[in-house]
Amino acid sequence: MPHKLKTLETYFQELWVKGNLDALDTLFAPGARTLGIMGDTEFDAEELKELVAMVRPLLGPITVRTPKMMEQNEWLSALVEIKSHAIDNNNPVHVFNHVMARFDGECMIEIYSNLDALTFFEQLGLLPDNAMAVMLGGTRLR
Amino acid sequence: MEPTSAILRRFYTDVWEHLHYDRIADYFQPDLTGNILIPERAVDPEEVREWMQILDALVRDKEVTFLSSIDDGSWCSAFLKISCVSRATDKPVTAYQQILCRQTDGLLSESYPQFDLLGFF
Repeated sequence: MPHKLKTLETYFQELWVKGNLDALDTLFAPGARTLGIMGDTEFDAEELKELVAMVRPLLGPITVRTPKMMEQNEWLSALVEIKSHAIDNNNPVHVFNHVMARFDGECMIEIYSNLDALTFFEQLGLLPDNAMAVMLGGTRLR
Repeated sequence: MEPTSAILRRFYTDVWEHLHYDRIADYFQPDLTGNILIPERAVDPEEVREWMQILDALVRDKEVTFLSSIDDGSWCSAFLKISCVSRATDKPVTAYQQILCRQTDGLLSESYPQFDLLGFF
C-alpha cells in the first residue's frame, strides 16, 4: 500500500477505532496543524489527542471505511465513512469526513478535515433532529 | 481533458459568485447508471439550485477561494473558503467547504460536498 494511504488508514484505525493516542506521534510531522474540525480553530497534535479522548467516550465501537482515496504530489485526499452508535441513546451514528492532507515524507503536516458535524451532533442526540432545517430557515436555535 | 478542478472553479465563479442559476445544468450530468461511489449521497442539479436559494436568503456577496485542490484522473478534491456577508447582521461570514467530484466528458457526474454548516451557523 502506498505510504500516504497507509498513514491515513493508521490514523483512523489507531486513534479513532482503538483510541491509541500515542500513535499520532508517528503520523504527524513536528509542527503539524489540522484545520476544519472546529471552524477556524487550528489544532496541533496534543489538542487533537484531547479532542479524540473527549469524543470517543460518546460513541460505541467505531468502524471506518474509505470509499475514495486520491493523491497528487505531496497531497492525499480521502472520503471517509464513519459508523458507530451513540452511547447515550443508542442511536446509529453514520457520518462522512472529507480529509485533505499534505505530507512531509511519511508524515502528515497540514490536514484539512470536514466532518458532517451537524448530522453527527443530531445523531448523538446533542442537537434536536430538525436543527439544520430550523437554522437554514434563519431561525436561531434555542 | 480539462482538469476537474478547472471545471469546478468555473462552476463556483458562475453559480456561487455570479448567481447564474440557469447555468447549473451546464455543469452537472448526474451518472444515472448507479455505478457511483455513494448512491444515497448523489447530488442532483435541482438540489444545488435549492441549496443556492437557501444560502442566498441568509448571506450575500459570496466569494469562493480554492485553498487547495488536487486532481487525480477524472476525480478532484478541493478545500474551499467561502467569504460572504450575513443579510441579518451585515457582518462578514467565513465558511469552509470540501468537495470530492468526478467528471465524465467535461461535466460533473458525481459530487460529494461537505459544507461546514456548524461553523457557518
